[in-house]
Amino acid sequence: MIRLLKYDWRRNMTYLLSAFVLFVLGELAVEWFVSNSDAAVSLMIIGYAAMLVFIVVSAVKTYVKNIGSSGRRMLPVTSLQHILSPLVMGLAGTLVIGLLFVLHFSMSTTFQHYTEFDQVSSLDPGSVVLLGLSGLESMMFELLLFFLAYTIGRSLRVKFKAVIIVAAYLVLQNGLLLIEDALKLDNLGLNSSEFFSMKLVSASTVFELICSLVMIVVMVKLIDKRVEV
Amino acid sequence: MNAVNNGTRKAEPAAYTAKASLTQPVLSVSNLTKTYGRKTALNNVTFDIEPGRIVGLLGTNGSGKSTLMRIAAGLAQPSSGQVTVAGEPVGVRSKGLVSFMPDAPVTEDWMRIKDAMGFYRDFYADFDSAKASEMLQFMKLNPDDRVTSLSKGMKERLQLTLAFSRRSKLYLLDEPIGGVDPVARGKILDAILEFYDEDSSVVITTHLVRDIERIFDQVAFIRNGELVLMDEVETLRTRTGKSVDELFREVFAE
Repeated sequence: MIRLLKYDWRRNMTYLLSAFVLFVLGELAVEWFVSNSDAAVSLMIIGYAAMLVFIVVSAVKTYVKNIGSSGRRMLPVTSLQHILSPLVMGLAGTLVIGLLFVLHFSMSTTFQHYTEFDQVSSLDPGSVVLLGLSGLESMMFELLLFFLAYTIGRSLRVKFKAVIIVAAYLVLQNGLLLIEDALKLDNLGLNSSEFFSMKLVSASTVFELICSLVMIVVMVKLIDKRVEV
Repeated sequence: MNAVNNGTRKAEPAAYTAKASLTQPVLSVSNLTKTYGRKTALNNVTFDIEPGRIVGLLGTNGSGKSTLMRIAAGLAQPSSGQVTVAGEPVGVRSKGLVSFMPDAPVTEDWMRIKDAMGFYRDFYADFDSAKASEMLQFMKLNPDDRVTSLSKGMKERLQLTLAFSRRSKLYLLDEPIGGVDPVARGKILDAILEFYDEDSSVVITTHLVRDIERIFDQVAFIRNGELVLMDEVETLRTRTGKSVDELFREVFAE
């Protein structure tokens, strides 16, 4: 898996590093040149969100390319490794951005004026780690939803695969949310006040982890039996 | 490496053929059927390939040659039937035994030729660096060249170099000379003869029969997904008095 990850990284390295440099320069520019603190916070958050979206897109593109490429699929590695490599790449990117945020937050004066973020200051280090892990779990869940939706579309020999992929994603996303609601699990991450409410390992997280495992098993089966190159 | 006589392989001794028939087939295809919806790409195909053979899998476009290759390489799944490589059912382990040269690039745009070599070295235990260097020289490929800067003929040379840099049991070459000029075509055929291992087998799909028939020990004709003929080239020539190309034109005449 590490070898696959090495080549996934090398394929994406130029784009990811370029985006990262632009992102850092952008954040520094906001920090130094935007005096209005509300505008500065908004721009900073937009920068982080954009970088995370870029990482998600890169990971999904990598997965799409890998399971559809002869060069990758004929390697003597398991389908699970083909799934884990772009997943780990996406999570590693998220972790880097997360650590950068912590560093930025600890040095920035702008964030101190934003009350939602003040709550983070009151967390002990263990809780901050748990908060980070929750974020990674959410990212993993989202990436797997994208991967599975694409795999479902790719496993069918029909026209309009793009429509099927989008439909599969919407059904999966909303279906799982409905199940979460039906089970009356607390939803983590949708509401910022809940996000900082210290319920860091919730029933919802456990539910998402179980769903993630099931999604991986389904993807492995589909890649082995249905997704052809 | 194999003996080459004016670009034509020496005929294998009869004793070797008899001995080969007692060994485990390198590729065994049994009642293989592949359907795509209502279309049948392969229909109940059965054959074995013994070690040390160069086999031409011949047929017109859409006859099922590439589908068979992709199933043997583990890139597609059969609808029914079984394919084994050196006794291993097609799967992760058989992928380590098969060196497949597909008709699509196996390299990536960011790679230089040396990166592509490194990629194969990292993933295939049977990759032979010395053989790879020798082949790069033979093919006049520069390790520092970017893959994207290569012409179609040079890309085909690179694909073949990657495939043959492995010490595999089975080499599957899908249209290795399709769409390249006669110079590159000659170089590719010479490389196949020069660099394949005698203990392994090579299966080559093509519809450009005249250019390549000199290297085959055995040919298999596939028409509309069915195996219509499979025999030794020398036997066919003696029995029919025709070249493989002439037979191909007869079998596939419309």
